[in-house]
Amino acid sequence: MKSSLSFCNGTLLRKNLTRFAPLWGIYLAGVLLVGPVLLFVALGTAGHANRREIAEELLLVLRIASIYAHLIYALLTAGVCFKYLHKTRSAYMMHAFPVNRLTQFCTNVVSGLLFALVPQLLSAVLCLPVLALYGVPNALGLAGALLAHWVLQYLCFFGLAVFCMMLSGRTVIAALSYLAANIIGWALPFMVLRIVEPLFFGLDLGGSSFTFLSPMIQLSTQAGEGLLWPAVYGAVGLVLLALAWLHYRVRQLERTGEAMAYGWARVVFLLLFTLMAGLTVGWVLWMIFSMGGSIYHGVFGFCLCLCAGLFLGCFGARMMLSRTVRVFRRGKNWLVYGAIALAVVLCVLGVRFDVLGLQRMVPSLQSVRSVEIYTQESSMFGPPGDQIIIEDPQELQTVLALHREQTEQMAAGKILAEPDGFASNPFAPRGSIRYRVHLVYHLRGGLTIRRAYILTNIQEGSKLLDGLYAVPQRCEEYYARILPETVRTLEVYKTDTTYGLTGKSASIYPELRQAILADAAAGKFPIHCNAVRYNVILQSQEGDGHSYLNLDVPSTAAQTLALLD
Amino acid sequence: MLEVRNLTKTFDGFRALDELSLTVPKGAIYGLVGPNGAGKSTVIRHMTGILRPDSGTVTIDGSPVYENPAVKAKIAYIPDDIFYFPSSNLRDMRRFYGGLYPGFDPDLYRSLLQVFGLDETMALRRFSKGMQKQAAFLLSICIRPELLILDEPVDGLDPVMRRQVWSLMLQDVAERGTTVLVSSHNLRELEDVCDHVGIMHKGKMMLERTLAELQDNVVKAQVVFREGADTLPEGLKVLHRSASGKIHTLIIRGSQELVNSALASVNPIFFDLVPLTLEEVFVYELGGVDYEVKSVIL
Repeated sequence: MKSSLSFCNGTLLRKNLTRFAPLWGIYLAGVLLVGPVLLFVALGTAGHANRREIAEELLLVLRIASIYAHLIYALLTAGVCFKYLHKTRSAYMMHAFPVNRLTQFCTNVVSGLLFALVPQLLSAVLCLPVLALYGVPNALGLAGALLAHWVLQYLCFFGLAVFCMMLSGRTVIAALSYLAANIIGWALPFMVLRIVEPLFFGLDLGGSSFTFLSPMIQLSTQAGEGLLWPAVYGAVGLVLLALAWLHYRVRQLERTGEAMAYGWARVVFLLLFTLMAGLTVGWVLWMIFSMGGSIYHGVFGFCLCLCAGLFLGCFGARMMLSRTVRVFRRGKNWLVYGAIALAVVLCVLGVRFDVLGLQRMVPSLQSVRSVEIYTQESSMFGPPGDQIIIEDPQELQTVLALHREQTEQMAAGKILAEPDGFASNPFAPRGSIRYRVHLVYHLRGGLTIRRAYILTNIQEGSKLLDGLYAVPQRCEEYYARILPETVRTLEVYKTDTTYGLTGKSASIYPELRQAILADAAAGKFPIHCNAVRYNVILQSQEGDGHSYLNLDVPSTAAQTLALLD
Repeated sequence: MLEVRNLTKTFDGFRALDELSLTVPKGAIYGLVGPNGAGKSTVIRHMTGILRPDSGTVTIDGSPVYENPAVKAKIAYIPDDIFYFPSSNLRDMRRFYGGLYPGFDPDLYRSLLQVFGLDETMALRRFSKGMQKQAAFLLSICIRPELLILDEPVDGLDPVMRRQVWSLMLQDVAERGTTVLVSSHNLRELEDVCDHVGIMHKGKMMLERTLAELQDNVVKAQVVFREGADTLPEGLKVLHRSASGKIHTLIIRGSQELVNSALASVNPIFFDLVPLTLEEVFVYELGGVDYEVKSVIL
């Protein structure tokens, strides 16, 4: 360990392991308790038949719960290992010792990893005899998967925590940055969308999200999906450790005590904090002052609220960076705030007034290769997967006509933008059915354009859409694909005001299936319809589990209705 | 030999060190003095390899100090504000220093522990400031350093302990020829122990000489002139002149021999040459440069 070539100093390592023994001791006790001990108790009280299921479910729960435990534990371990960088006395003293920075960094990283990996390994190894004792098959695989998840989760969070410790000159700011880094990938796009959605007519992000930028959220949502994401984040953790070292090499110790220890980090911190705080506060201010009014119609007032929010955000960020409340004494700081506020306001106004013409744009027939159409109703019993793909030029023209109708009505002021980002017809009669239609254009150049509009069933566009959904061959293929051969249960609800359950049972399903297919072949059972008489909920077997299917039975489906009435 | 050459360090546009150069010869006890904000602690942090220079070099026997564990293992550093690991005791620190410094002498540690009378099992944070300084001295001496760097070393110690600490340090210098650099405001104390002195002001080295050179170069004379014959000979450079009754006090630049013969030539009733204290040397040498220097030294 004392070799000049060694990257790890034995004395420093021993100091870390002994000084922080209470921390890793508690963690060790925790992972032993929730690992082998909990497994032993759970399997001991379970019947023979379902021990495997219980073991699998318990280990899955452990994988999910450990994400949050490791989120905090990694911050603590990185904190204790690198806290000396955040106090002038300790930073100077530690760097006066005859140990170079690489050795200090590597020793601290090894310490931090040992704090977690040894307890995790011990816990996983002890799970093996417990699983074997109760005859759970594939014990090695189950314990190995648990260990792999734990190790990769910890690696990700530890790498991020060390990186944040390195960037910051103060422990509190480092901890806050770490927690913010874990959610900002979700939080910032969320806030941006809250603002852009009401302003961008027809905005459709196609379910895309930025949660992959938030390790905590992404790992939580993907916990049951194998090791891909944990491995990705584990690798990211390693990259962050490497970046942390590159920063440590050039760290100026005189920056100790400052919120951010590097120039670029100060700029990023200022921008992200100002934007995040500014957008949130601006939005909240608007909601308060406008009593929840439309951003679209009060965009200038909203911009004022945003400017106020950004001012507070910029003030807060500057205050933390310079550790004083007199942050706007320098003209340069006013200029930076002005530039940020101006950029945000211009973006908001640009979207609101469609400066780039994106909201008015309808693709030409020649440029479109195909269009995917699907609807999404407000009803929880809306039809599933009513997606159709249009390639026929004749039908493509129908879709483009529908799209054009929307943009023209919007331009003519016949459709008003709503706070939820869609549009409605203010002249639609009371009780008319509104539903959301999504258009996904695949252009010949390889581009994809997504739009979403709210239609009312009296609109011309809605009738055009109904026509596309009612093409007999398309309907027959669609229902033949989605209807299972057999079902376990069947429930039929009347869609009148009572929404009552009828007494029909699964025994009628074979006949019902034939009737639906016959109606579909006759064009009487469209893929999507607005005039619904019944909701049919089917439960069918699928592998080890089961799935549900909700069907809307239209008033035109004569054969089907004959069975259900 | 510790050499600092053209060292410059800027903190957010403020030039803390400005092309600073100094030389500490091997075996010397070098006193580094200067007013608050002169850059004494900053230059010491460069000498101990804590801070990276913007430009210039800090070397010990020709090897750079920054990121050089082999050189740093020869240096013991006692800052003005000592850091110990929270909840650690002297025994923990002894193990830590013993692991990091190959020259750590456990026998010396045990004997010095008796001298200082410190409880090595007591948490260091429970020690008084003076006891913490003693502990730092104890650990630093025990690593058998070639260079001992002390930033306000006896600040907070009682007079008995000050004397003990200085005598320990001088004993180490005498036995092993340790080079010592001391930063202090207390010129009277430095006068007793230092053989080299450097004075800093606003990040620059204003004066760097041996104590003997300094004291040989300026002489304090008390003279009673004959009636009407108080004119001094041509060429005598008088830095300061004051009178109390018939007794004139003169501070004159030049060697004792030169001043002696010059004063004898005017045939005064009485004259005597009095040795200058370090404080007086600084005041009269540098008093005209900047009142801040004077105020600190006085």
